[in-house]
Amino acid sequence: MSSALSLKQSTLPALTDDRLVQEASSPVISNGDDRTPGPFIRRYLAALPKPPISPAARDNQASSEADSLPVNSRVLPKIPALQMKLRSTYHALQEWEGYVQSIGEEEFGVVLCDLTSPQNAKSTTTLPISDLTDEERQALDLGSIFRWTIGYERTPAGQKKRVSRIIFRQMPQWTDAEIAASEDAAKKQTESIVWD
Amino acid sequence: MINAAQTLRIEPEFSGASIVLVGNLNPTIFTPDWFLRQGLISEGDRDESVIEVIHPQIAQFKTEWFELVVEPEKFSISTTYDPRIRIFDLVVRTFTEFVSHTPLRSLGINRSVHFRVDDMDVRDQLGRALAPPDAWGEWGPMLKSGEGLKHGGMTSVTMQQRDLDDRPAGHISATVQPSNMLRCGIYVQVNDHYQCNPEAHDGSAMIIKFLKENFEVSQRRSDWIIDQVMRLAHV
Repeated sequence: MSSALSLKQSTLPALTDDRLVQEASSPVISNGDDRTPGPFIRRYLAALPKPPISPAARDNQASSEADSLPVNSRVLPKIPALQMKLRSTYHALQEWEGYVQSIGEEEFGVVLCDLTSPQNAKSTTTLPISDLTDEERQALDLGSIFRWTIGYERTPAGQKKRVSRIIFRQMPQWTDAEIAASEDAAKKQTESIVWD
Repeated sequence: MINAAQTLRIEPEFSGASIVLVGNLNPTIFTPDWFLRQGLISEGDRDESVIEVIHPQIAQFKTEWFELVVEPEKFSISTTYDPRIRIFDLVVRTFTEFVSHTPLRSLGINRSVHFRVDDMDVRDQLGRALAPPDAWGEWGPMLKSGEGLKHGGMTSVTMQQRDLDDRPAGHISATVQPSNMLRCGIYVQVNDHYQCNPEAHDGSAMIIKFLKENFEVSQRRSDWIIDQVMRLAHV
């Protein structure tokens, strides 16, 4: 495999549709070249006429991390790449989803589902309230659903440390349409039961 | 065979995910204060947020755990912090509770990693498995030759699956490149693209419904695809 740098900068011809699409992208995990626009953008935004492109092709291009130029395109300035090493990353080696079953003075009881090894049965345990951040403590409530992860955080300085995190989910609310659809489905299922 | 929970055989050194929605949007809405007012982020997230720009053509800011870029036709949120379900929760709540009438046309659920292999020989081995130089005939030996910065070979491979029965239209694409972040590293990105039927009058609802039903499935499948690439480093 070539040791050359990513194809994006060194091989791009100037100002074709595909290259404009790549230039304007802003992936967080790019291949070492984050095209995130910076504070100079106000001075450089300019309209650029764009040849017609089918809506399907346009949408196909736009959903990946690397392809994002809108149809009514504006050329974004070529901003020096942010260094990935300036951001921490956290990769979980183990992840559970759980809910709060009880809350004590110093610990809270939880029921856990192992998302990393789902064949494992549900388990119950207690976790120290002191492990929660101030914000997470405010979200601590009976029935609250959370994700507990254990993994490695890599800091901007290049250090690697083992981390355990509990994050309470801000889950989507059921919409009226979803509730109605569930009730309808339940009703149909009930009506389809044939009693002996 | 995709396992119910897919773990990667090589721990990535950089790992992330993103959700991209394509539609018609007003970037100036999406500020940290707006997200705080809706209860979508915490005060701590808002206070620590770094705003790059808020402009009719683009809004961009980042917090500790996510980065948001909104353009008139694209909403893109990405994270390098597990659990990745947090960006899912944020997107679904935003587009079901607060901006539910936003026209949406397509969705991308993306996963990216950088992982390290033992040495450059292993990296070359992986590249040659994906793109055999010998397939290039007489040019093949020239592709394999050279040392250091003159060493040739694969710079990028993208594969795409289109035979999918879980969506009206779309594809799953995976791109593999040498990593620019890691010496002896590999970069893999998976784009899971979902396109609703242009004639569908409830396209936005379908997009969000697909996201709700498929985000975690998509992430597991993407990890499975990435693991197939990682497997080549162990052959």
